[in-house]
Amino acid sequence: MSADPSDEELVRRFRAGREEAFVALVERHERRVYNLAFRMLGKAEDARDATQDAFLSCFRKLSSFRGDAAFSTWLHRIAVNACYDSLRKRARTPVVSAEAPEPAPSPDHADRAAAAADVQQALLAVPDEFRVVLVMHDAQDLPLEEIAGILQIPLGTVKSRLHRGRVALGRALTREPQGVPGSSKPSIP
Amino acid sequence: MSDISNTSPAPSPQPSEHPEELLAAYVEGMPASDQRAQVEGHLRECSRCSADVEAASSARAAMTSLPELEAPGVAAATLAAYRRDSIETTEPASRASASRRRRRFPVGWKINPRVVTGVAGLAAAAAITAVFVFGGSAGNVPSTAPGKAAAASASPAAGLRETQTDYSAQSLTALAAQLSARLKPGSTPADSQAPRPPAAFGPVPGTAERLALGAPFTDAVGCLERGSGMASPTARPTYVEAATFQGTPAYIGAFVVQGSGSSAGHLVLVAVTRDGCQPLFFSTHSL
Repeated sequence: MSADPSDEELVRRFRAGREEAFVALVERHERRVYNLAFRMLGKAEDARDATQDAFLSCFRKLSSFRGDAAFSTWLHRIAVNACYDSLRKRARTPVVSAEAPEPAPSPDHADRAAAAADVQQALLAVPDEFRVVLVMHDAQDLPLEEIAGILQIPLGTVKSRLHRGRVALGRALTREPQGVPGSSKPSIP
Repeated sequence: MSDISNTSPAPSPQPSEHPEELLAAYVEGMPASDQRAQVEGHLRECSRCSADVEAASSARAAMTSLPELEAPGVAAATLAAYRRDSIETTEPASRASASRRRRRFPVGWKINPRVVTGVAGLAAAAAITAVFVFGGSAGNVPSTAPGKAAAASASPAAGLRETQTDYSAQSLTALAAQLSARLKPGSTPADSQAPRPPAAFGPVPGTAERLALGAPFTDAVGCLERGSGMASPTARPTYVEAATFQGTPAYIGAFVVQGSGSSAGHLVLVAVTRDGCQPLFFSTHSL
């Protein structure tokens, strides 16, 4: 049984003009990038766009990828920037009406999906620089050292932002839900 | 999960400080140690940090219970956008609109690598720069050769060409080779050794001309543009056919992306479903 090629090997193949390596890299990483984008942006369409933007940007910049960091770390950095770009665009767009974030598609029971939607809505109240750490560590299980590398900030700052982000989210969760009509109150297992 | 209590030298919490870094570790279950005892001592004295830890614990539990979402399947759309951007990088006049237009590629379509591999030989022979097949199965043999489809076609003035051709990735690639050969600078119908392309071949440069070809033709071009993301002043539709692709009713279209300087441009051949204008096939060819 042959092992899957490493990210770095796929990068090398892509640089050599083998486009199937492009597809393999996207398929390997898009779920993680999309989940990060969805938790940061709260809308499926925006998250898809940010995911596509991140990969496009990644492949355009691939010639400048020197391999100093792991490909996944480099990709995450680009994905975070794509999310920030999307948030900046959103900030420039006039708000027409208060809009609840989309419930995340979930195969689980409706109560759990509703609870997840409430968490997602509360998450959007957490400042961006705290939220990104919170999502990467608590939702995506990324080690703090890797997050420090992705964001290029000291480890102590990562820990501090993680704590502040959790506190902000915890307080947002205890407020009255303002989201989807009929949704249940936040349900914390 | 990383053990965040062991990732840096532990600062000693002072009663007058709020040890946020250690509190982050404490919420994740700091093992019994002097450090933990110090944190608990601080929490007994600091109501603010006690409240923060309670909120942070709730947040941590909520975050770890979030479901992981399925991948959106952007590989095909991203690759198509990447390839088109690559084309347009050689066309300075169209760079500015590349970012805007790439969003027109629908997402959620999977490339079939077997088909990409299967047409590799043809691609090399026809100066093809990229071939993408969206979904479907590989390797179907066309029920009608492109040349035969051409013979059965109506004149361009009659509007939309409808044929019984069932295209595969291979036969579309062959069609693209024919069209490219006809379009290459200096080629004429007399000196070209390639089979004659379908009679509807010819520039359709403007809205007025499209309208003159009738609503079915206009609808087909619009569907091809929407489905492939080729709506652009620099992408000129040059060929349109209503046929099938691997059994699916489809519009087949060719666009010429204008070149600049020494570049002669590219031919882009696309197939989209007639119902819903979803992409089925996309290939680019140097001219």
